[in-house]
Amino acid sequence: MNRRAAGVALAVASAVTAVVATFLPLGRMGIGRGDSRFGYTTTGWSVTTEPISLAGFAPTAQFGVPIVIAAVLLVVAAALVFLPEHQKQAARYTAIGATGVLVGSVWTTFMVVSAWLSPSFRGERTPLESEYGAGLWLLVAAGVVAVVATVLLHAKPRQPAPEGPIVHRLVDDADTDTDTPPFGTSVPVLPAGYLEQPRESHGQPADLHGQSPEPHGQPAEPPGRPSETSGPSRETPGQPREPSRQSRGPEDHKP
Amino acid sequence: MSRRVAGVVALVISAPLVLVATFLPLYEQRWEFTYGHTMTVVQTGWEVTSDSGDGDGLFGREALYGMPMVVAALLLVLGAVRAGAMWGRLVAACGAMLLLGSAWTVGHFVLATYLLEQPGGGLVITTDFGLALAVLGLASVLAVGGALMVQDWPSRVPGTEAPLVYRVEGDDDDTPPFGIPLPVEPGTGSSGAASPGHAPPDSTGSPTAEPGGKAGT
Repeated sequence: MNRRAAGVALAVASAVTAVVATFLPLGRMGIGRGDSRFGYTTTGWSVTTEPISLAGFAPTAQFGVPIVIAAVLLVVAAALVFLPEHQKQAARYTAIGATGVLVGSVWTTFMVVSAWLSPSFRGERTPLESEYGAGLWLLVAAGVVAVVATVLLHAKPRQPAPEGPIVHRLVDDADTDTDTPPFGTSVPVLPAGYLEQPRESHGQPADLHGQSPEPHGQPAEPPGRPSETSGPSRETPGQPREPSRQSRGPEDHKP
Repeated sequence: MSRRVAGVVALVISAPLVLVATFLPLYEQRWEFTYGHTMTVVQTGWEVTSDSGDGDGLFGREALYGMPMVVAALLLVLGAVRAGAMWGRLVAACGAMLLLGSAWTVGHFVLATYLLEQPGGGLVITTDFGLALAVLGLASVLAVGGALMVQDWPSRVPGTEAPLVYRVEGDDDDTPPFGIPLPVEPGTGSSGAASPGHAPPDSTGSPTAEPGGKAGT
């Protein structure tokens, strides 16, 4: 079970526990036993008195209202986890809101019950007995579990393990990938007089100068086709096939 | 003022309001006995006091309702200070929701005290709401609003960094604004079906025709 699944399970468990706890006794204060008992028992929804005629002295606070609403929000947050990845932010914030309200309500309820069970007039000689109820401890446990669930719901999803060899691709950027290759950069070497040759033969017959426009025996190209006269140069072993006309002169390119 | 700054201001305002509210009365109860004796019970976020008996009176005791509220206020301040970080915004949300839950529960308690049934037997209890409830309500609204405003909300409209492409439905065969360039036959200057590769290199420098050779509809 991954962490998110555990968070969902804990959130639901916390919500159910909190709702159940509101119906259990939060605290009990009284005197006597059996039929002669005299006192109060409070839950998240009501206060029961023994005898019933004491009902007017105890305020019946509905502590369960914010607790139940927080529990419902917690379940909603657990359900929102199953949304697509880019919408799971809703689950996380709903979980935070629900947990915050639940913890705040439980904490304050604990303080109210604690203050109610420890009145100042109960001294050494007072036979009043008081005890915290199981509902209060269950509420505290539900709050703690809700916090843990919210933390787990914020866990990042597990990244899939890479399969096969790991290939690091370098970005083809002029600023970062400009290292010289291990055997240097190949420099084109043009035949002597290659760059001047097409300029002399352009628009004029080549044999007027007493030499062939193509020093290596290639037939002269008809005028008017500059794109073809500047065609491929002779290949030199180990040199690039397409020499650039923007390169420097052949003397400068000799190694 | 940006949304986040407004949220931080709301958080910073709500925190001291919470602290002040814990010291204000949540309610005031007046107990009137038939034989003429009266007693007033006042509860704040820290204690219950009454004006009968010695010291804090017959009903005087600790009631530390304000403790979770103070913790919530501290979280609000921490979240406001660190609103630029993700964890700071989450802390602000936690503080706001903690305050909301605590104030909500205290409100239920005070409401139950207000709705207390008259016990009878010559005793009449009158309960009035204290100022703390209003201040707590205002602080809670400010805290929740501020915590929401400091969050990074996803934008609903996609960004306009990429070029916008409008796709025209149906037949989109209108003539372009400057017509359709036609190839010019070499030597004649008239438009024809000649291949662009056969255009003389010195005629126009381009295998396309002059504006006069354009065909438009």
